[in-house]
Parts: sequence; C-alpha cells; structure tokens
Amino acid sequence: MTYSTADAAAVEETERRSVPMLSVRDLRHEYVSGKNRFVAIDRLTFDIEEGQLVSIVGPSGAGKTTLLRCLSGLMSPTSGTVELAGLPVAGVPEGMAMVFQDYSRSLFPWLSVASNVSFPLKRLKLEKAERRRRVQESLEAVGLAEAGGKYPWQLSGGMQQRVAIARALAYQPRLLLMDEPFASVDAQTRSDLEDLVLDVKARFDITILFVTHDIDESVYLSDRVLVLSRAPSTLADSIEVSLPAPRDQISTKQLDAFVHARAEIAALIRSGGADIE
Amino acid sequence: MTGAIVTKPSASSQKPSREHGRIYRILQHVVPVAVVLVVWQLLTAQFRSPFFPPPLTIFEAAYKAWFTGPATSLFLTDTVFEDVLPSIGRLLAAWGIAAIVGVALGLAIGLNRIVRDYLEPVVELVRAIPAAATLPIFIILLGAGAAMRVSFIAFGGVIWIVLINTILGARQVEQTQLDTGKAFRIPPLQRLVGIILPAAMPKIFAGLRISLAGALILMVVSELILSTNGIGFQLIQAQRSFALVQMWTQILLLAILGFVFNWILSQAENHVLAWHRGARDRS
Repeated sequence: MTYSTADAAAVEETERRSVPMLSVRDLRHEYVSGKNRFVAIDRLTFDIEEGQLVSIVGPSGAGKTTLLRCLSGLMSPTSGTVELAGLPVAGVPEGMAMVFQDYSRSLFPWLSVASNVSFPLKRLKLEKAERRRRVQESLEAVGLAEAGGKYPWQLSGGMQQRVAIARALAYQPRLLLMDEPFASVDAQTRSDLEDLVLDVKARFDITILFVTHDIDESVYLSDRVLVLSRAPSTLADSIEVSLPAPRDQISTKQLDAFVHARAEIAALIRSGGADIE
Repeated sequence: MTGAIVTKPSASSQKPSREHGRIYRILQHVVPVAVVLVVWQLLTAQFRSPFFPPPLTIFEAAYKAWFTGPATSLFLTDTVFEDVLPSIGRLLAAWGIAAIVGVALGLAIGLNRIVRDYLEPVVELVRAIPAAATLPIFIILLGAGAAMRVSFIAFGGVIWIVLINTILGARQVEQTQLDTGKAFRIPPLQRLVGIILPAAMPKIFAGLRISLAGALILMVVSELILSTNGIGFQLIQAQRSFALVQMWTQILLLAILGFVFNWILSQAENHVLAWHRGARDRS
C-alpha cells in the first residue's frame, strides 16, 4: 500500500502518539547502607501520554525524589523498567531536561544568565545563530528577555528559577521533569511561576512531569495527578483533572471540580498515613 | 511580574564617591607603611646598632647594588643578571610546574572518592613536613645545581599545598551542579572543564597564593647551602662577611618580590573570580 506524503505523516503522527511518552513498570528502589535496607518506592507503574502535564504528589519521605532520580537516569533503580517514548532508559536519556528545586545550586554562578541557558546546547553542536536564537526565545518565554547579561546571583529567587526553566526549554526536550521547583520561593512568586508553566506547556507542546508536595499546585497545573503512598511508595491513585483552559489562579480555584479534586487528593494522602501540609 | 533585578547604581551618581573610595583605599595602604618607615628610621638612627641599619641607608645601598650599572644593560648591575633574575627564574619555573601538576593531580584525586580516601591522608601527612627540612634529601638525590633547586621548590613545597587545596576544591563542588551536568548529558571532559574546574577555582587560587609565598621562602633556603649564585646566596654571603647593610638589601628585595608576586596573583584572582565575590556578597 502506498501512502501519499500527507498520509504517511499522519500515520507516523498517530503511531508516535500511541506510544506513551513515559512508561514506568514495577519500579522499585531500595537504599542499602550496611545492614539497613530502606525501600523508597515499590511496584510503581504508570504511563504519561505525550503533551500531558502530570503531577506527582505524596507525603514527605514518599520517595518522590527517588522516583525522579530514577526517571532522569541520575540513579539506577533496583528493579523495574522506565521507557521514554518506547525506548528503555539506561542512564540519562536523550530528549529529557530537568529543573531542580535548588535553583541557586543548579545554575552556575560563574556564567551569565545567557551562558547558563546555552550551556547544555554546546553538546548539541548547533550553529551559533541557532543556539543564540534558542537562548533568546526561551529567555523571552520566561519573561527574562533583558536579563541575558546578568549573573544568577544578581537575580531574585523566582527569576533564578525562571532561568533554570529557560535552560530546560532551550534544550527542547520531549519530557520536562520538575522536582518541586517552586518549593523554595514565596507564595506570590509561586503563583506567577505556576502560570508560567501553563504558558510554556501551551506554547511549546511539551510533556511535563511535575513533582510537588503542594496539592493546590498539583491540581491547578495538571491533566492528571498521581498520588504516591507513604514509603515504600506505590501508586495510591491516579486522578484525572478536568478543568477548563485557560486556567486562572482565582477563578479556576473556585470551581467545584477543583475543590473536589483537591479534597479527594488530600484524603488519599491523609489515609496513606501522613499529612503533608 | 514579581521579582527584582538588583542593579549597580548608575555610573554618574557613583563617580565622586568611587573616586573618593579609591583615594582613601590607597592612603589606607600607603600611610601605615610610611609611618612604620619613619619610626624605623628614627629608632635606628637614634640607637645606631650595626645589626639594624636605618632604612635610608639600606635603600641607598640597594640602589647602588642594582641600578648603577652601564647604560647598555638598562643601568642594571651584573648582580641583577647573575643573582636576581636566575633566582626569580627558578622560583617561577618551579611554581609553574608544580602548580600545573598539582591542579591536574588534585582534580583527579578529588573527584574519585576511592582514590581520595586512600591518598588524602598521605598528602596531609607529607604536607605537614616542614619543606625546608627536606632540602638535604633533594641535595642527596639531585646534587647542588639548578635542577635540585627547582625540584626542591616544586616538589618539596609548592605541589603539596596546591594539591591539598585542589582536592578540597574538587570535593566541595555542589552535588546539584554535578547532577545538572549529568542530567543534561554533558560529556565528562566538558563537565570537568566547564563545571568542576570553575567551581573549584576559589580553593585552587587559595592554594596558588599560599604556595607562591612558600615558594619564595624555599627559593631562599635552597640557595643558603651549596650555592654559587642567587638572592639567597648573596644573603648568606653578606651575613658571613658581616656586610650587614648588604644583607638587609637582600631582605628588602625579597620583601618587594613577595609583595609584587602576591599583588599580581591577586589581580589575576580578582579577574578570574569576579563572579565569586559577587555571589558570595549576595548570599
């Protein structure tokens, strides 16, 4: 059967979208130190479809950081599989970027903001003009178009985290991992950054996995919320969030759907044995 | 959009106070030294001890010793070419070699936890040995020539200080910065040069500065025994023949050299580590 080019593209598109962006099966990680064994995550299984924003919430100590380190390839899980767009992850996979919680220790103080953003791009061997374009585009996307020449320590915390997000965006990853990225900023800044994430997702059509301990944040941002139980953490539940777009900090949070989702998640977390906040 | 960019005050509003600040700082450096010189001159002129000639006498002897040569050699005397320059040459060669080797080794050791655990105690132990006391070992191994002196300065002293500071610098690189490098699949060489080296630079520079001061001492020590030229040689010769003013001129020279080298290195450090001062001041 011969396809026209348009058909071929459509078929490829369908095939591409039918493979989940991230596929986790029976993930288990155990920390061993001498005689002590601590199972952080166990039998963790879930999929994330392309273009979704999925949050992971759970009580403190629920292995959220362990999970993210296994997904990002920074750590090898004790057992289980992780697949990114159908390909098994061994080590850090291509096409994935990460935003860390501690922005002040993740950005490089000896480089300017623009150099920080372009640092991961050197490896990609892009043309200079393309590299510069990407840096400018991502800085502009996070609202820091004029800050390229500054140094990270000259910026406020919220702006530093924006730089970290810009750095991840310039990399043009297929999957963006965010590890409690707004835990270290004040509430006002956090609201602004949450809206930035929604903006970025709409503009760049990127798949985002967002780890947080803030239930409100998880519901506000996500298409789906994965709730982890206490350690040894497994998936307590997966809650679909159907809130209309565009979302807004004030009106969306008044919707019934928001309130119910929030309550449901809070109850799940509490019954998992611990309050989180 | 919340958040503030902290900017420096505009140049025009800062100029008068910045100029004042600079003049004040220069005076802060010059005035105490001048006071010490004046007091020293007054005391030594008063008590007339042969062991403590007045500074003006020393300065005059120094000028005669180095700057009264023929015009063909820029008015520099023979001793400048036979003693001063060779000594400085040996010092800088030794320091340069040991600095490069020390930084390279220090990074290699500091980054490998197993190697570090085994080698760090050894380095600490050897570093604690007073370098000057190891001179006889170098003489036995390498004789009495320039090779011995350079090796002594480099491997008796400088390298141990550079090594220990570089290891410390490599150790305290932020884990998150390393994770960032790994998470973006930065290749190992680029991680070393682009993340670890800059992060360790403050400690490396500290090691370089301390070791340079130490190298000056070792240069002199290496020339006190079995030498035929050099600043240390001139120093010990003058002392032995009770030419005490000449002895003091060598001491003066060493003081000036120490100050100048440290100043040059500080300027380099300020340039390379400008980001570090800024980051430190903000946190």
